[in-house]
Order: sequence, then structure tokens, then C-alpha cells
Amino acid sequence: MTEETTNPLRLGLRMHRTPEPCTVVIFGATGDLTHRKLVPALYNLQRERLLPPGFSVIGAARRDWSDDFFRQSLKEDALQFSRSGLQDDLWDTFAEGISYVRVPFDDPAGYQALAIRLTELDEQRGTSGNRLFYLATPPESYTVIIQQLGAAGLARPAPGSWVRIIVEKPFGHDLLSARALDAEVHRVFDESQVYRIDHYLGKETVQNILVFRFANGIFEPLWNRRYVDHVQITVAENVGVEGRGGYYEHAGAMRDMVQNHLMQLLSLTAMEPPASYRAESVRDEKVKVLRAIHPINPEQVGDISVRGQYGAGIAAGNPVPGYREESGVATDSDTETYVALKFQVENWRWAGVPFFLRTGKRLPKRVSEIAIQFRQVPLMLFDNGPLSDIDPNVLAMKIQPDEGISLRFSSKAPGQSNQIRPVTMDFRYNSSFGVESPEAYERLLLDALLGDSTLFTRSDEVEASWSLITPIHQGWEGVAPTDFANYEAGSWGPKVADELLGPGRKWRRL
Amino acid sequence: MSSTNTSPTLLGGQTHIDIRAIERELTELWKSAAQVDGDQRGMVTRACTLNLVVVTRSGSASQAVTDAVDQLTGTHPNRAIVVSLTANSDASQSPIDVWVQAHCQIPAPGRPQVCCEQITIEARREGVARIPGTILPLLVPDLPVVVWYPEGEPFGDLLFERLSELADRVVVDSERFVNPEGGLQRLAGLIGGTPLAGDLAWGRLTIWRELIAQCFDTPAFAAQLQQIKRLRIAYELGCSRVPALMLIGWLATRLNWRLLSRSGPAEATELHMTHPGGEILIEIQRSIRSEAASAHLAAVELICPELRISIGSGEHTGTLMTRIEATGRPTLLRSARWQRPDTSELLAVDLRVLGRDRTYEEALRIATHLI
Repeated sequence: MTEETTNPLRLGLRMHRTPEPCTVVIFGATGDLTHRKLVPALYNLQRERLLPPGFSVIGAARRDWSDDFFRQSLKEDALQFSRSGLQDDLWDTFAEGISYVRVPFDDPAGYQALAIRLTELDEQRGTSGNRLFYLATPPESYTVIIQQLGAAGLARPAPGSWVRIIVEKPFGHDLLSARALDAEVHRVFDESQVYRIDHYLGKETVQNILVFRFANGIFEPLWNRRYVDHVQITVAENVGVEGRGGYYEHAGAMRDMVQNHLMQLLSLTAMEPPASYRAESVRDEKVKVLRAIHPINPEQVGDISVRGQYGAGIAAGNPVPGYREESGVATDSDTETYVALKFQVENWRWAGVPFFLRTGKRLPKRVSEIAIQFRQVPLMLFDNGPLSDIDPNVLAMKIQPDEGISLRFSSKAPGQSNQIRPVTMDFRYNSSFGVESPEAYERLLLDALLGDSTLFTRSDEVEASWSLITPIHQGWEGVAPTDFANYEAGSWGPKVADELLGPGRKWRRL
Repeated sequence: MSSTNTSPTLLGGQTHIDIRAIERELTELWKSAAQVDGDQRGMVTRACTLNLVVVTRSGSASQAVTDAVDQLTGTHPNRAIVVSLTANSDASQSPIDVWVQAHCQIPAPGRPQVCCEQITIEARREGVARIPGTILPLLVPDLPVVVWYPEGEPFGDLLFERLSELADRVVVDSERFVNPEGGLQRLAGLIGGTPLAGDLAWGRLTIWRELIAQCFDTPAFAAQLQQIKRLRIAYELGCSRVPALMLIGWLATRLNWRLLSRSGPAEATELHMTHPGGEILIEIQRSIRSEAASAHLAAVELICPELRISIGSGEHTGTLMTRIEATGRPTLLRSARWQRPDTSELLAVDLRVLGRDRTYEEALRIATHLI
């Protein structure tokens, strides 16, 4: 949430406040993330009048680019990737605040040049020492950039100013490396300055999970072990590794999707109501959920996890290669492209209710949802014969696409007999709210500029998540998969994943 | 659904129907809507988040309203009941005629088509008295009822009073009042009661309020907010000074300003106000030229001991430029995109807050004291 403002003129306006004049310094400024997401997001914030006067951007990277070349390259990509298109005069005003500094990440001289440019902007554009550093580089560069920022004195704010840093995922690749990265970060920055970004939390529908749960009185009383049979969280991708085979070989579905996106969805679904909608309260409750998940013993990984890798198949009507045939992938790769997990949240609310998570590449469609499957009625009054199909109630929160909420319940089909059919009651975002949603990065960048960390991941949250994921990796490392590739591209994953749910349960058809 | 790839359409044309069969005709209309494209059957979504009752007094206004409702489908799916009051009529004509039609957005590929319905009631002579009774059963239950008078002052009219009884919110456009300052005072009379009042002209001021507020988000400038010494507002040639009064009303209510005295004619008014930090001189002047893109205000200037803020038209068409000059700091310039919002956009903004807008009500109350 946006923090309370002391500006009385903000009361009743659509935004509580806009950020103070500041400079965003993007490391990795020549990369795709900067061009396709970050700068188009900042441009759209400017277009929506949500950025302050004097707002400035410095691109920092190893390449020897000029200010003009940098601006021109950003403009060309913004034309393609800005959700609102590009308005020339508005871009020109925005671009006046954009400049470029060559910074070899391990070279102190580059940081001195950056410091000089920042001081010039403070004087010329009134940015007053306020800086937001954004690490949009490969994670291998995080440590050296953070160390050099500290050595150059750029991490400490001047009196009355602020300095913040956004760190992109992945936050480490296991528990030890996450702790090591955290230690490096905290040597230079205080935790209150650190914003670990998971763009999933910037999605409107993800934020709506809390609104749906805690702004409606009718659902929360049902949201517990008494009424819920199990929960299914699905984040399915229809694409393959899309040329990122080299990265994916080291990440796999577990690090790429589960440790961050799926664990965030699980936390938001299972958390207790926070004391207030403030950053620390919300994050406290999310961490409690992760800590309540039954610890995983590497020896028992086979009981709670299924891993898969896609082979050749048909996607969207076209033949596609298997994972091991993708560029940058070893021909005998054991990297998982599919994961299904069963977690038990051991607290009073959820004891005995399994949470099933699944994610994968080259699944039939791109879809993300959280499905709360309720228990069957205790006694069936109606003839449950072959003409009746009585399924339990399901409440599905659809994250993408077709964002919305759907409730499945049973209804009598018209006729003389009690034939019962499942029907759904749907709420669709785009039917009820025609306004265009902002991109996730717009929301998150604005929050970071405002100093609101509610939708960012805290260090203990990252650690708690890795504490669950790392033992699974350890268990997998001890037993090489023998059945890879075990699902066809374009299918819903390995058959063995069905067994994870246990008798009487099945994965939802999405 | 993105507004960029959709545009409203009329589905099935207008159907002239028997007033007793409106709901049945609507059902038939939706059946035919679902069958427009054989393969698309079932892809039409009938959506409704509010009842919108619109009262117009001329045929041309009715068409403009239909166009606005069309546009509104995308952001606020509604059941629109458009009442068209016809002054002149042939004695052989029915006192009341009804049409139904559907507004649909062209969907993005693979998305359902969202449609809303419009019931148009054309009333003449004694038909006007029948309107409330005709509307009441047509309201979708459990949804807010908004009554919108797009033109002129509705106050004192019997139909307005009857419709107000069933409305949760009444929306007017004070910019279109024949007597803007008198109408503003009548509008202020609605404050505190039911229904709630909304004014599209207030939405036109939003950009000015945002740009002013934004200057004081910077902590270094926030203290200056309580020390404003002078405020100059220029309003456009050919417009009333009502937007200027509302802007002052808003600042006064947020900053605890109290009126000491007023002088001068409408086109060159001086107000003396007081607040905990001292006295303020406020000058309202009519601009000597028309600034077609600036919400009926031409410029605003705020002067504090160590800060001067000027907001006016920017270099580029469709922009407003904010200039902040503070002692010991570089001058800050900021260009903001600005396009005069059309009626449907203003209505959509107003409908986002269906509850009481206390900021607006307080600003309105003070603005009427300044007249």
C-alpha cells in the first residue's frame, strides 16, 4: 500500500502521492529488461502524471554508448513495447531526463563517473540526492555492483534524501547462495533500502487475492481445513525455453518458477489476515505461512514431488522439439521443465489440507490460477446415478489470462428427474472493469519510488522459501531421473503427477 | 478489455416495443445477440454494474447521450434508461414510446463480447408524469441507481425530484448550467443528503488539483503549503469563473482558509482569505485569450515566501507545463499530457466513486460562499 501522506492536498485524489524528484539508475541498461519492460513502464508512469518534476534516468552498462544513442535505442523499443504506444512530444519531455554512463561493473572509475553525473542531476534537475538503483543485470554481477556502490559511497543517503536498490530475481540459486547474496547486500545496504522484485506481485489479479479474501465477508469463514479439501496452484506456460537454454539448464522449473512465483501465490492464498495493510504486517504473515510448511526431508522427496522434462510433441498445431534438442541444452540434460509438489501447511487453519503446486513449460496453454477445492457435502440427498455428475465446489482465482474469479457449484438440470450438473458463476475483470490494467513493472517501480515495500520480497521470506526448495533439489540430486523426457510437449505433464494428488483427486482441466 | 482494440457498436438496431413488454423484448434481444455470429454463440457476455438513468430534453442530446453510454460500456457496464423529453408533439402521438437496444464492445480475439442494454423512453405531454413509474420496475435490483442530467440545471423540476427519490447518486455538469453560479448554489443544497451529488465539471479540475498537489509531495516544499501568500487563477475567455471558485474551494478546505473579504466583478475578483500562516490574496481573472485545451482554466500561480509555482499551457499542444522556482534550487519544469476529456470519460471517472466524495462536497460548500 502507499504510505500515509502528509500532503493535505492529496486527500481525495486518485494517488496518495507522487515520488519526490529522484534519479533511477539502471544497471544492465543495454539489456532486454531495460528496453522492453523498465523504460516503457517508466514512460507510462510519466504519461499518467505519476512521476515528479525533474525525474531522471541514468543507464549504466559496460558498452560505450552515448546519451543520444541510448535514448534512441530506448525510444525504438518503447514504440514496440509501451502498452500505450508512444506520443512524440511526451517522449521528448521524458527523454530529456535520460542519460547514459559507461560503467564496467568492477571498475571504480565507472562509479566515480556515475557519482559525478548524479551530482550534476541533483543540481540541474533538483533530484536532491534521491536515488533508486535497479539491478537489471545477470545475477552474477549483483555482488560486484553492490560492493562498488558501497565503496563509491553511493549506497548511503545524504541527510533528508533516500537511496534504494531493486534486486531482480533470482535471489540466489539455493539456500546457501541466497544467504551469501543477502550478506553482501546487507554489508552495503540496510534491509529497509532493499526491494527484491518478483513481477508476479505487481499483477492486479495477484493483488486482488488479498482484496478478495479480506474485503469480502462470505469467503474467509470457509477458508480453512473444515471446508477446504485441497488447493491447486497452477502456473502453466505453453512456450519452451525460447533461446534461454543456457540459463534454464542451471535454473530449471523449480528455481525459475516455484521458488518465487508459485511460493508467492501459496503465501497469499494461505496467509492469515494481517494486522494492517502495511508492508511489514503483510510480509510477516506471508513468512509465517512458509515457516509453517512441513519441512522436507531429502530422502522423502519422491513422496511430495514429481519432476518432468518435455520431449518432442505438438504445440499449437506445430511439431516442436524436445527440451534436450533445444539450443544451449545438454543432450543428456536432467534439468526439470515440469514440477508438481505437495506441501502441507501445518497450522490451525490448514492442518491436513494439501497444497498442490504445478508448473511447466510446453504445457497445452498459458494459464495461471489458484483453485480452492471444497469438501463434498457430508450426505448426498440426491440420486447420484449415471446421469448425475456431482463435483465438489471449486473457487478458482484466475491470474492469467481471462483474469477473474469463478465459482463452480451443482445445479439441477431442467427435467422431471434430479439430474445434477456442475455450473459456474464467473466474474471477469475485463467485463466488469473495462479500464486497462497497468503493467506489473509500472506498479512495482512506482511503489519502490514511493518507498512502499509491501509488494516486494523481504530477506527472511526469500530464505524461508529456499529452505523448502533446497532439500528438494538435494533429494533430486541423489537420484537421477530415469524417465526423462517423460511428457510430450503440448500435454499436461507426466502421468505420474496424477498420483501425487492421491485417491479421489485429479488435476483441474484448464 | 483494452480500449485500443475495441469500439462500441449497436447490436440488432433499435427495437420499438410495447412498454409492457420491455423485459421480454430485452430477453429476445439478448438471445439474438448470442446468435449474431453462428460460431460465436455463447460468447456474448451481458454485464451490468449499475443502473444509469439519463434525462435529456432534445433529440440531438439523446444521440450524444447514446454515444456516451456506448463508450461507457467498456468501463462501467450498465443498464441505461435514457429518458428523452419532447416539448412539441403531435396530439396523435403516443405520450410515451420505448426502444431497446444493446451496446457491445468489439472484443479482443478469443475474448467474450461484453454487451449492455439501453432502454430509451421518449415522453411527451402527460407521458412525463408516467416516467418514474415506468422506470422503477426496469431497474436492475441490488445495483446502484445513478441519475444523470447531461444538460442544464435540473433543480426545481418535478421529474428531477421524483427521480432523486430512487437515485443513489445524481450527476450533473455545472459547466452546462445556464446560470452557473446560481446552479452551483442549488447543487450545494444537495450536500449531506440523499442522493449524493456528482459534477462532471469537478472531473475537469482533476488535472489542476493533481499538478498542484504534486508540487507539495516534495518534503522540502511541503512546509510552504501553509505559507501561501498569493494565488492567481486565470479562467478562459467565454467561460464562467465557477471552475476557479471550485479550485479555491478545494484549496481552502484542505488548507483551512477562511474568507475575510471579496471585491471586484466576476472577471476580476479579489478575495482576501486567512489561514494559520497569515493572509492570502487571491485574484481571479478572465483570460484575454481562449486556451482550448486547459479545462476552462488558463493558468494558476501560487506564491509562497520561498516558492513560486506556475501552471499553464505547455509548448506542445495538449500539454500543461508546471514551473517550480524555489529559493536555492534549480528551476524545475514538468510537462504533463493533457487532453480535454470527453463526456463519457468524465462520467466514467465520476462513477468510479459511487460513495460520498467528501473532498468535492467540502470544496463545493466553500465555493458557494465565495460567490
